[in-house]
Amino acid sequence: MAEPKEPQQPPSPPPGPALPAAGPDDVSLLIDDRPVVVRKGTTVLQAAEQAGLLVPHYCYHAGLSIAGNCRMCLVEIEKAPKLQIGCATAAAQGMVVRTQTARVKSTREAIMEFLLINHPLDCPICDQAGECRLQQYEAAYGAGRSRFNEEKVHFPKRYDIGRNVVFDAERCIKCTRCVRFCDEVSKTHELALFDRGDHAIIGTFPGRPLDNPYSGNTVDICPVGALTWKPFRFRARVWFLRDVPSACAGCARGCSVNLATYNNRIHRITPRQNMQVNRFWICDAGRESHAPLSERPRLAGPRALAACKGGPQQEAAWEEALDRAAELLRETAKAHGSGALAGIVSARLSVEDLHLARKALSEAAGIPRLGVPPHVEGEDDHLLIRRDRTPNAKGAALAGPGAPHAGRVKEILEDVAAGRVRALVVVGEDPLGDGLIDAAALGRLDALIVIDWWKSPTAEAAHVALPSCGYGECEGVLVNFEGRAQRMRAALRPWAEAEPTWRILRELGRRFGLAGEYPTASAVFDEVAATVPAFAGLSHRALGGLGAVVKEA
Amino acid sequence: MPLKGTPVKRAAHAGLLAATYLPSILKGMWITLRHIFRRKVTMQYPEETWKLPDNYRGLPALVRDDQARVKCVACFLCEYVCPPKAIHIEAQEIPTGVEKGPKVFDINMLRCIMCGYCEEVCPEQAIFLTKEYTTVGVNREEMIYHKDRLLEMGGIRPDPIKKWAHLTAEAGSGTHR
Amino acid sequence: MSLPVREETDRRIDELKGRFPHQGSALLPALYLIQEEKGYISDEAMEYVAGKIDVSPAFVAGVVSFYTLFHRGPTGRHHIQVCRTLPCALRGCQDLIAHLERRLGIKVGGTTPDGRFSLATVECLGACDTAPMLQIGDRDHGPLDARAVDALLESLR
Repeated sequence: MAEPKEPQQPPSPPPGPALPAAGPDDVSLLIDDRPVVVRKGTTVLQAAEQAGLLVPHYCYHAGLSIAGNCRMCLVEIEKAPKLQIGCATAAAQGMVVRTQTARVKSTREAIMEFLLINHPLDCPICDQAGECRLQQYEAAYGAGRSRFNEEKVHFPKRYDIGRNVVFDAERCIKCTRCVRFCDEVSKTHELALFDRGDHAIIGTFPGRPLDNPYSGNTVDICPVGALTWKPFRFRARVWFLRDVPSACAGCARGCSVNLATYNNRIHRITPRQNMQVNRFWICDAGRESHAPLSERPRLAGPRALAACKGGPQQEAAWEEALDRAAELLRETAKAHGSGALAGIVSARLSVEDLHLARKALSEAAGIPRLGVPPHVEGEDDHLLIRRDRTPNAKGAALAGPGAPHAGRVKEILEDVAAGRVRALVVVGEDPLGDGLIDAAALGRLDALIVIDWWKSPTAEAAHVALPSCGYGECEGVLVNFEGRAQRMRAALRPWAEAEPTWRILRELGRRFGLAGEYPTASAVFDEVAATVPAFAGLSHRALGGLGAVVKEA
Repeated sequence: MPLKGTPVKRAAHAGLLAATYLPSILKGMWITLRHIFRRKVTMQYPEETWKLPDNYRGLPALVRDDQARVKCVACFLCEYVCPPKAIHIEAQEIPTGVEKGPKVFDINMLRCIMCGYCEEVCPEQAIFLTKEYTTVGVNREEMIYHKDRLLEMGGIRPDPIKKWAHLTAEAGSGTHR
Repeated sequence: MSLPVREETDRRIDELKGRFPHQGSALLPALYLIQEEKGYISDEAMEYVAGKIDVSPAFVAGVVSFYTLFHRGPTGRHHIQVCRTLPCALRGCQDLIAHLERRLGIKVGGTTPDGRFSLATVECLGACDTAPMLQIGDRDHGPLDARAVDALLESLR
């Protein structure tokens, strides 16, 4: 068969712009007549990406080694007799690459046909549908029809491959991204490719299932619907979901994430690429960090104890509850001196919350001591997880009431037990549930004011309990252990009567003469930027999607 | 300002006979008499009902296949495409056979406009518009048809394409759910 | 922990490791040694080899499953491997397999109750000129029809 005539390929010299000059460590090449200059060692696929051209691919992933097995990225390179895979061909000086020729297109069509030969017609029941590379590429590059009349190869469809992951072997295209992830990133080596030919299947060694703290990433990088995340299985179709860029509040790493919401609920959390923080990955715990939102009992509205002590908590209006809180604090200060006031503030709160905690509680209400409890669990691991489970310890140190300090918190709680502290304000913490203090000691307080998003044991024991927004319901900035400030975004409407913590603190502070306007979280952050040198020049807008590093002294 | 225009022409006086109204009465009675012997056009609904054309679009309903398996796999495409948002689905995992199906499948017949988009978009041929057009309820809740009622309305509809045959065979029978 | 292989085999695997620029390359010969000793490669043996040459057990299991000449369980005394790749398929290996299953009373992958024969299908054994063919031990047999198979089985009883 004669080669189809190609208008884009006249005999040399090639048309279009001349190659730009390349530095000693660079190479310059032409991709679809666009001049591109890239670092030496860059692959053709990556060079095309830099030039804004998509070379379709399945097995290539920027965070993994090159496998070159899916063959989808075949491109035409001048002087090479056959098409070359873009993912494993290094860009070279003077190379002329074409990604849109008839030959490339017919090859992509053929590759799609091969990949789909044994692929089941599962799209209606497949969680990947809507974000599936097979669907996308078939629409863009495939023939749109099947010539395969024979019975497809059948595989196990509900292969329980690990604690949180289900494997559908029929959907798998054997790109081995998951295998490479376990070998190279999580370094847990659970997965391997078994058998061969059309019987090849991803599998585990007997008795060693896919069970590592990062197993969910295999689901993300799976370009098809072969690996699915158990908690998300059949929960929602992805085309209903809206991804809200945010930061994870699970540990001091503060991974960039997307909160996928639908019907005012977070249905899943997926990593958002941020090379300065988490690259392409998040841990499984972070992935499921939205679960408590629906599992734990929420505080619907403000609750206050009836005026006589010992009565049951009753629902109260916001103004009423705030008045009562302020009154309790004032009465205690009058009776026992301001030394009898103390506060416990969480480093899980945002910079805005912590800034207003300092302004409202320390400065306006005159609470002399604010303790920030540390939360430590396990050890730092080789990838992302930090033993410090407070996402904003650095923010608390720079803009809030101080770095987490177990000793100071212990001192305060001992004083509570000894009766030296008569009024305690607890913001976002649960000392009773965490076992830092017992109920009897807490019961000795004249005033316990709790601001928290859920009905924690401490909140249930409170004289005034004020409902704050849970994770994903409010705006705020977190500063991770490396000093990178990132924004958390509001993905959900606040539940029932919940309010952002900073706004509750603002209202409480106003009852003690707090002056500032503080209309929005962004305005609170602007004040932080203006008053705290580390945050100078920053704003919600300036932080953007990837955050910025604070200037530490 | 005087009005402009052409004055209305009034009919001339009809005469003495017309003034008795007898010709008009007789003419009217003649028309009535003629209709007594014509074919009747009034339908004795509900004893008699319409003969509906094959492409009539009535209330939507869910169907089962010839193994009595619920054909719907809860893909949510009908919920997505439904213009008045009359459909509400919740999916569930099924331990055998086709792994996914509807736990909840509600159609609000007060909202439904019988457009047939759901039937058209369904990749499993699980929802069809029936020829049913009577829908009665004494409150809004009754007008929301649940899965069981929709399945009862749809009945069994054999499908020549046995797409899930190997899975339902493996499960022993398709009659779960 | 006791070794799942003889000390001699263990020593020879150690020896193999030094022969390759990457010790992982010693995997195939090491598996050969184990199969030579045991007749098959057990899960314990795979874990042992994995630890020995520093690869993951899953990878070892993947390699073992790739090659039909490695067995993950005991085989019959005569392990019949029938080629099912294209030339043999065109020459009727399906009939050959069906006939063997009938004669031996076992399915592909099974072993006769007396432990004399086991049956497996494999990919091309490089004897397409004698398709349809099978291999028992180190010997190829082909081309085979029903009568030739019967004679072959008889000679092995």
